[in-house]
Amino acid sequence: MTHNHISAYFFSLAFLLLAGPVLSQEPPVTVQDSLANREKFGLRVGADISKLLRTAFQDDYSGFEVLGDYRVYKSYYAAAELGNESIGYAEDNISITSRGSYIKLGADYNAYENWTGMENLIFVGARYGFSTFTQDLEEYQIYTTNPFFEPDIRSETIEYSGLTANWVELIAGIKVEVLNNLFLSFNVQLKRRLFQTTPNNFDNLSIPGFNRTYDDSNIGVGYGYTISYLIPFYKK
Amino acid sequence: MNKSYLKILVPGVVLLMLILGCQRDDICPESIQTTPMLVLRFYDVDERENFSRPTNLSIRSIVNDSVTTLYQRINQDSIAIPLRTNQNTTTYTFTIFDSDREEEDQEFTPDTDTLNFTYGTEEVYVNRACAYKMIYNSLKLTVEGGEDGDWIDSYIIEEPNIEDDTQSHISIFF
Repeated sequence: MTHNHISAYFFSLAFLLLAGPVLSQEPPVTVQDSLANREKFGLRVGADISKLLRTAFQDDYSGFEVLGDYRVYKSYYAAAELGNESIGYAEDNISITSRGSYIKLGADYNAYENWTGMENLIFVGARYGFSTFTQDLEEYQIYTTNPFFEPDIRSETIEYSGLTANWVELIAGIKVEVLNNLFLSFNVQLKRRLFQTTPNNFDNLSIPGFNRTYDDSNIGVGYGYTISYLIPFYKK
Repeated sequence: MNKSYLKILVPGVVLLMLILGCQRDDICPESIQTTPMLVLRFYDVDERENFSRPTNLSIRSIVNDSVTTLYQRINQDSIAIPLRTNQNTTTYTFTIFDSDREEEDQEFTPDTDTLNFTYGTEEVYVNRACAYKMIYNSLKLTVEGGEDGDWIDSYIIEEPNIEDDTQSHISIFF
């Protein structure tokens, strides 16, 4: 499980490094056409590839995320993500599956000044996230300090449904236009949980959209590797 | 906003992800109270204020259909024994003056009493590393002397609700 996480992080880091050369753009030779200075405004829609890859290769995970952003003004974008996940989570003495849907709403700011005619982004943004989910407590052990009697392992699944959580999130990443209107993007997310409903006599160990939780903090982390397509509405 | 700000922010967030991602919090620390053990204290039957040590006390129970020894010939005035978490009853045999088989000459003959503890159980979530613990309530005890008679004279259940193992739950007089 831990191994899976680590490999997932390095996997996504590798994507970040691969995207590096694409961002170091060479200046275009001479573009003085005033029409080319006009930038595209429109709706960008896409999906998270990393979640699809994890669904394919990771046994205890399935999920997808669709996302969109709309360029409101110059460097400002309204952004939203909508997803559904089933996350398996296991520690030595407990294993669960957390499954449910989430929505994230917020805005991005593009801090990158493009060469004329290019529309790549290095962005930072903020999100408000809300998740509604169910936790299946699949197996747990009654922890004892003395191993005299045989271990007491309970493996009848207990379902805790109707759980909710919300959080705020800082997001930072890059978006690169690899083909006309087609963007590849990598982002990292730092989350802070605000409120949650926890099951009676249990805790939320993993939350769809928020990822795994920590016993002694409200912090969560995440990443995304997305592909998206810009539907241009007008140029300005 | 300029680019140098981003040059700090993005690696910072990546670093934090790595640190959190590799952090192990799946080891249950000893400092946390998990399933408590039952603590017994031995007293002299004649001078009931005084602690007393049963000589060469062995404590055994049946685990997986075979007699298993928890303590072998110990001399302590206080012992902690685990209770079964998957049943509402745990049976132990307490043998005083327990002998090594090689020892032919015995000053005292071994005497075995059977102690049957019954109790209610309640599961309590601790944290993700320790998962759940069990706490016990309404503890009751019966003592059977068997053919060789009782060596335990009497007992007092001091604390029928067992939530930690920092103090004695049962006083045994012999």
